[in-house]
Amino acid sequence: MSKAAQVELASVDVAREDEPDRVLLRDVTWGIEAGQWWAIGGSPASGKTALLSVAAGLTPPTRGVVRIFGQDLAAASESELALWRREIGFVFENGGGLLGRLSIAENVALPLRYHSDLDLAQVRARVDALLGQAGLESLADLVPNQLTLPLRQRVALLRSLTAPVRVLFLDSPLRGLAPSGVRWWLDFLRELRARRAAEGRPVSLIMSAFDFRAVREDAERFAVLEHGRFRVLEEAEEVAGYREDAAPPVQTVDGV
Amino acid sequence: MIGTTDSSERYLDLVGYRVVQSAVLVRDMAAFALIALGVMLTKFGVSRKVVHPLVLAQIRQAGLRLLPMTIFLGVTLGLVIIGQTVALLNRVGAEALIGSVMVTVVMRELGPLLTAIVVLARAGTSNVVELGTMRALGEVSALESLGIDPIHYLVMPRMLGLAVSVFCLATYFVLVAIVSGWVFAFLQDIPLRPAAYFGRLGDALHWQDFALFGLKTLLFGVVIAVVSCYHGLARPLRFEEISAVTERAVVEGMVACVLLDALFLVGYVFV
Repeated sequence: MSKAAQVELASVDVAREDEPDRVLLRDVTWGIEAGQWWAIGGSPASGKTALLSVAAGLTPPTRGVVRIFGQDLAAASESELALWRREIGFVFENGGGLLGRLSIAENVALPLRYHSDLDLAQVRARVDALLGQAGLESLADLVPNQLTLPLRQRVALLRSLTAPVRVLFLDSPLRGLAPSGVRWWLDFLRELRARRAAEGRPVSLIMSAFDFRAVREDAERFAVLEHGRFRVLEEAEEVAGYREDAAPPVQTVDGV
Repeated sequence: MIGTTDSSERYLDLVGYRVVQSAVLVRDMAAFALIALGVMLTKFGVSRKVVHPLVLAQIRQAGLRLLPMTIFLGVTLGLVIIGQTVALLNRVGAEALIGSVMVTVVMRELGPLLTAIVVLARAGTSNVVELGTMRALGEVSALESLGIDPIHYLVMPRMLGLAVSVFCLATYFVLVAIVSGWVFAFLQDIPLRPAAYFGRLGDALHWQDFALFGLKTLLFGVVIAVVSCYHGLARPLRFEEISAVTERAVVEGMVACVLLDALFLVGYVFV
C-alpha cells in the first residue's frame, strides 16, 4: 500500500448539494491515508455531511480539487467513477438511505446482485453471513420502516461492506445512541479495521461526530469544523479539550 | 401614465421570464431524456437480473393494474361517442364514412391520448411521489454511493414499462371502444351488420395507421416517464416540495402529450 493519500482535498470549498451558493466550509485541505481512522467534529449545520459527501466524491466541490486514489475527480471517466464508488463506502445518517421498498436482506443484497453474477443462493449466503456478523439476522425480512433509525444505519453499514471498500465514510453513526449502541459500532469498526489490516487491505474510516468523547481511544486523527473552516487537531490536549463539557446537540431531522 | 408603463413593463418582464423559464425547462428535460436514452442503450444488458424484473414490475403496476379502468373508459366512450356517431351517420345516410370516422377518432386520437392521460394521472403521479420521496430521504444518493446508476435502476425500468403499458392499454381501449360502439348501434336498432361495420373499418385502415399508433403510444409512455422521473429525480428535493412538483409534472406531462399528439398530425397528413 502506498503512503500517498487515498482521498485528497486541495483548497476545496464545500456546500450542500441543494444549496450550492451557500458555502459552508472554505479552503479545506485534507489528506486521508490508507488505514487511517479520522473523527470529524462539528456542531449541527457546520457542514459535516456536506464535507463527507464532497470527500467521497458524491457532491462536486464548488471550488478546489478533489483527488481520489491520486486522480482528479473532475477529470474522471464514467467507468473510473463507477469503480471508485465501489471502493468508497458511505453510510448515510438518518437511517442510511436504505430503499424503503426492499426488505433488510434485499437492501444488503442489492449491490451484490447489481454488481456481480452470483446466483441468488450465493447472494443469500453472503447476506446471511453479514447480518449474522452484526447480530441482525432476525430482521432480514422486515422493511426499513419497521426499524429504528440507528438500526437502519447498521444495516446501511453492512450494505456498504458488500463492496470491496478501501475508504468508509460514516456520517454521525453515534448520534443519539445509548452506550450499548456506541459500543456496538466501535467494536464492529475496530474488528473490521483489524481484520482488514491483517489481510493486507486496510480500510480507512472517516466518522463525523458532535464531540470526540466516544471515539478518543479509537480514532487516530481528529479535525473540527469551526467558523466555516476545517482544522486538524494536532495536539492530544486539544482533542481532549474539544467540547468535553458541552451538552449534546439538539437533533435536527434534516441531519445537517 | 408612468404607472401604466411600469406595470406593462413589469408584465412584459414577467412574460419574458416565464418564456425563458419554460425554454430552460424544456432544455433540461430534453437533456434528461437524452441521458436516459443513452443509459438505456449502453446499459440495457447490465445487471439484467436486477433491472429487468423492475421493468416487468412497472408493466404490472402501470399497465395491468390500469386495465380495468381503461376498459371501463373504452366501453363508456364507445357507447356514448361512437355509438352516437354511428347512429347519426346512419340517419343521414353516410354509413360509408363510418370506417374513416372511427379510425380517425378512436384509433388516431381518442385511444392513444386518453390512455396516456389515464396513465399519466395514475402511474405518472405515483412515479413523481415515489421518486421524490426517495430523493428527499437520501435513497437516491445512497444508490449512487453504491455505484448503482439511478437512471439505470430507477428511470430505465419506468421508461420501458410505461411505453409498453401505454401501447397495450391503448390497444385494448381501441378494441373495446369499437366493439361497444357497434353494440350501441345494435341496441338502437340500426341496421348495421357486424360484417359491414368491421368491413368498413378494415377498409379505412392503412398499415401506416398501425405503425403510427404504435409509435405514438410508445412515445407517450416515454414522455410520461421522462416528465415524471425528471421532476422526481433531477434536482435535490425536500419533502414539502413533493406535492408541488407532482402538480407541475401532471400539467407538463399533459402539455407534452398534447403537443406530441399535434406533432403526429403531420405524420397523418401523409397517410
